Amino acid sequence: MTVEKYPNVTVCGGGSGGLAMAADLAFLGCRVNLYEVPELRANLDPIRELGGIQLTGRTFSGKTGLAKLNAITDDPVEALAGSELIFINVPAMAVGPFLNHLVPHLSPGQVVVVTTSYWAALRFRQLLKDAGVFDRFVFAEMNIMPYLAGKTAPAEVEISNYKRELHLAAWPACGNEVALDLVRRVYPHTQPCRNVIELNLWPGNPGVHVQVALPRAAFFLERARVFHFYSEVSMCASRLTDAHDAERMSVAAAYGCESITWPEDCRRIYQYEGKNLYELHGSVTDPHAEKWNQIEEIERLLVEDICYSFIPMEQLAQVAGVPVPVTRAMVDITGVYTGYNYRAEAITLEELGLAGLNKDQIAAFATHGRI
Amino acid sequence: MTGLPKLAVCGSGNAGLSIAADSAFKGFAVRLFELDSLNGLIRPIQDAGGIEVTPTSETTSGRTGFVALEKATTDPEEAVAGADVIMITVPAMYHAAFFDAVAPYLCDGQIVLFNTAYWACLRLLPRMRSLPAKIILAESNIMPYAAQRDGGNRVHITRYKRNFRVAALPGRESDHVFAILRQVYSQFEKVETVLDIDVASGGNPAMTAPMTIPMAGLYFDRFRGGKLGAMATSMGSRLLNAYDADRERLARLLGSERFESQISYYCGTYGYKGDDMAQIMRKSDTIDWYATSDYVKQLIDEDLVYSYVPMVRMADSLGIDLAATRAIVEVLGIMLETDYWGMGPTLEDLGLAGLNLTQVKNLLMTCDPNATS
Repeated sequence: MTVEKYPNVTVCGGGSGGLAMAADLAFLGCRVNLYEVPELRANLDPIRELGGIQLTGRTFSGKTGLAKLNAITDDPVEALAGSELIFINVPAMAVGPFLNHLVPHLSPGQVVVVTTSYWAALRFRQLLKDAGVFDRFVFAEMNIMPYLAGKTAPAEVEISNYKRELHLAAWPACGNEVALDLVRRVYPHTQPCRNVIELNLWPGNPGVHVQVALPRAAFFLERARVFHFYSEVSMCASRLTDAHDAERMSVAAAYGCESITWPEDCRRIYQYEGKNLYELHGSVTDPHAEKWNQIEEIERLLVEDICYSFIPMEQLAQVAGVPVPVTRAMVDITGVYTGYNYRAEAITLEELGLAGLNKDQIAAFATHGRI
Repeated sequence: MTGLPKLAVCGSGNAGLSIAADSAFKGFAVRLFELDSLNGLIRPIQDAGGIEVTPTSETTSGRTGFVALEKATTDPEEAVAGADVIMITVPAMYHAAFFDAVAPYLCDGQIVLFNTAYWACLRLLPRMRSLPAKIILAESNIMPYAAQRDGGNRVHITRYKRNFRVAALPGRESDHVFAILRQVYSQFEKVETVLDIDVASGGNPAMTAPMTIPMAGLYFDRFRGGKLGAMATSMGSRLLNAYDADRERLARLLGSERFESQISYYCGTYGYKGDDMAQIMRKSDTIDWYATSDYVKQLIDEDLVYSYVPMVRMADSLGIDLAATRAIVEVLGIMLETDYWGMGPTLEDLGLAGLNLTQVKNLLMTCDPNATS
């Protein structure tokens, strides 16, 4: 593999997060292949027609305009050819289809990073093991997508903010160094987590969608349908966030992991000011507050946060004997609001390969890939 | 007892004044009692010798205007002497204070009725047992009136409730208590035990807690209050239904056949119509009633501390999890920075610690968990 300043990158996912990353990394100097699964190949047509992605906003590269890509494709072989680093920027429920397409065509030495965490590594551990994740390529999760972005047209994306601090953990954690070295060549502000438990209990994903929506559900889910989600952050939401943070950090501590509060993370990654969520999103400079959201998007984010994070966290808490009553209550109340059976749809410790293990065995499996 | 039962009405708030005045209109001998520490509330009535009911009030007697009371007093001995029924018409947090004030002067056979449920009988059972007099405790699920008093001796009664329930502790006295109380209010319906009131009945606790949660971000920080009727939502109605489903499960476990949903309660007692509470409230005549956030919180505090918490604890001890009810307590505790679990009665306070289902039922019927039937 040639050593260059910027690695060759495959960016997977034709949503706003994928387009923002593809365009910004192309401006940064990477050779970028954009990949979308064949089922969603229509997402790529407008980009092909335009000859690239029109990028605006607060970019990490500092550049805006029409970003030209090396390839725009739904063919995994073409997408992966010559790439060192593969980013998957899709919602938790879409990670599986992408991995199914991509994993058979991965080459030794390639590094795959799922930027939405949500336990991707352990959920697809068998697929990864069969493909030789331990000795042929490196699989990592990032705590959050690097950009806060929205599409303004089918081939246009606006970055309203980029994250100043990212966290990453490989599974097994012996791949941390390789993944970190490569990712830092594009995002130098990336920090390692000791394992995928620490990563999944770090702020980022899950977001605070449940906490913000719960005291304003009648507006988000019933009346408004389109709204500035983060403009509606209330002190009630702020207190729910603090309570959930305390529980999340207790669970992390029980597994020997460190964590920080959501407000602390917000100050670090967005450089907002304020001591709590209410103040952070109440600041006039907060681009979050300007972002429009639709009901379908929030409903999907609630499923992601609850099914892929709150409920597995509850289960880990139970194994470790840590009470998480507020998290549990928020799951129950959101379930009543939406009528969605989050508990039935949530990922389980069994699916993560952790069922029947004690606390220490779970930590060992997350770190080493075996007990 | 000959003739109409004699009444002691404890508490000179909205409910106390309404009950005292309307009963006096109907010919009952009524003594109104207030704690000495709150004597400012009762002084205008003492000065005037009675209560003024506004001309537009809706009363069961059909009468309005001035009505004289036999007595208005802060002396508990004088208040309860010779009374057949002592009604405690105050918020749950004052139940014990009023009970303690009159307790030394109670006599055999007197009935102490708590008009607003909130697990009053079980909470006060230990105090009742320590009295030399053999009295009967009773509970109703709701105040007989929606009313508002002013700073003087005037009260305006918006409406009287079309039905409410009563049960005694011990439950074997429910028939006896009902026979007396129906003379005071024909709306009374008899149920078997106080848990038919506290768990199975609509009324108190009100719908405030679940209906407020999906609007909490407005009530408690943006607007500093709101209109509970106009701001009723489908999301809140769903939470209310989930809470009702919890209530129904516990009522069934206790063998109650008297479960009543909040919706059927509201439709029955107010004559409202609608499929869910949002529809009902948006068409109700209280649509424009505005409550400050402090007042909404007072309502929620009373409901959670004196009803939700004991219900969850009792269900836990009998092996069922009331997830929605528990979740409502949990998130409101965080959002309103209030330790509801710490403030609410424990199983020990309720005399339920370590009791199995059979023992709970025995306690309700006879006051003795180990009675053999």
